[in-house]
Amino acid sequence: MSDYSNANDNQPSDAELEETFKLLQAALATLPSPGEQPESAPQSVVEGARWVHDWLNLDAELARLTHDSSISDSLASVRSTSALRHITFSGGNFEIEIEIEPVERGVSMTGTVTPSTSGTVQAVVGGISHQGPIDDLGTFLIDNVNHGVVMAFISTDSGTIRLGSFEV
Amino acid sequence: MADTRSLQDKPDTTLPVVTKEQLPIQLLDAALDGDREAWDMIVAEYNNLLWWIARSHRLDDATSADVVQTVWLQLVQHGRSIRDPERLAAWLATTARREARRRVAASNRQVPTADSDDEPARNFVGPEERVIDNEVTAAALAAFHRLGPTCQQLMMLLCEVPPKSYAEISAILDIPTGSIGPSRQRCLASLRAELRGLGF
Repeated sequence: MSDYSNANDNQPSDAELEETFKLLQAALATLPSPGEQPESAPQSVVEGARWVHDWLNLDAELARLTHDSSISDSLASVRSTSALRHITFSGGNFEIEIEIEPVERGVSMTGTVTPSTSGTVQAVVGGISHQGPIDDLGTFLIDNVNHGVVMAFISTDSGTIRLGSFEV
Repeated sequence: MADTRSLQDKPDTTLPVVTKEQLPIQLLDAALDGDREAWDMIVAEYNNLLWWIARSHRLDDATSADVVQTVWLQLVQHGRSIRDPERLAAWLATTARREARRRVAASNRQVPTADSDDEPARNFVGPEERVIDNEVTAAALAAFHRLGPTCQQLMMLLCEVPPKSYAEISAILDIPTGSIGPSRQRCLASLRAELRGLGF
């Protein structure tokens, strides 16, 4: 941290310092009240940042995106009348299909794991974690997910599978 | 139906204290090699910068949070290709600006939907919400946040409107009046150096 005693030896000119002072004055003037510190990122955002590292370093097989209807439809110039988007991941001897549907706030994601197996699914978007069960038929539902980049993994009796990140 | 919860429900939510001397090249290398503590230190140092840059684009809380998380994702995926790891702060700031602008462009393409009953549309904030309104301001606040507490206190007092006299500041901080001017210049020089480090 910078303090009185450890300022840079290469001093800028007085004019440059006054320019910096005016910039700081304007910035501090945007704060809600005099003397108030700038708003820090919410704790959930901090945890989201930590999650990125945990997610990437999971002891898990990676399931790669093998199909995305939003891309294939676009390439084929197909004008879809459905708001549904289908994506598929393959990896770890499993295939995971996810149907993404817009809802009032964000999207819902209905998934199927094949071959069917029970377990849990966890997805994080913008620091908000969504968790839920995968039933015996291999299906799961994650509802009210905000738009953003999804980082998810599924856990089954046979191990953990990390899905490649995708945007909803 | 899945449970929704904030990750803050998890234990161990305090971030470690980091010294500037440890940043950023050794920490980045360690973090990319899987060192969670090193990663936490980088997050502690730069997360607010990313948040302020996202908010400076008038994005709502959820989108700003996603911008921040996306920048961190890009760092773990592409961090090894950063040509000059000493410029990590500038890389993060640039990536955050680019991602925030992409979200702004995307939101401008979307057809607005009816607002929900219990929450106003946060994309359309007014001055009463006192959001940080531009990137330079966000960078200035980030740089200010990186100053030592003594400099922060002094600059806060010097920036007050109407301005406080040196005598008043001397009394508040319990420092000689004659030291305020030189201290002000040193703190501003530090602030300017921090801003340059952030790519401004």
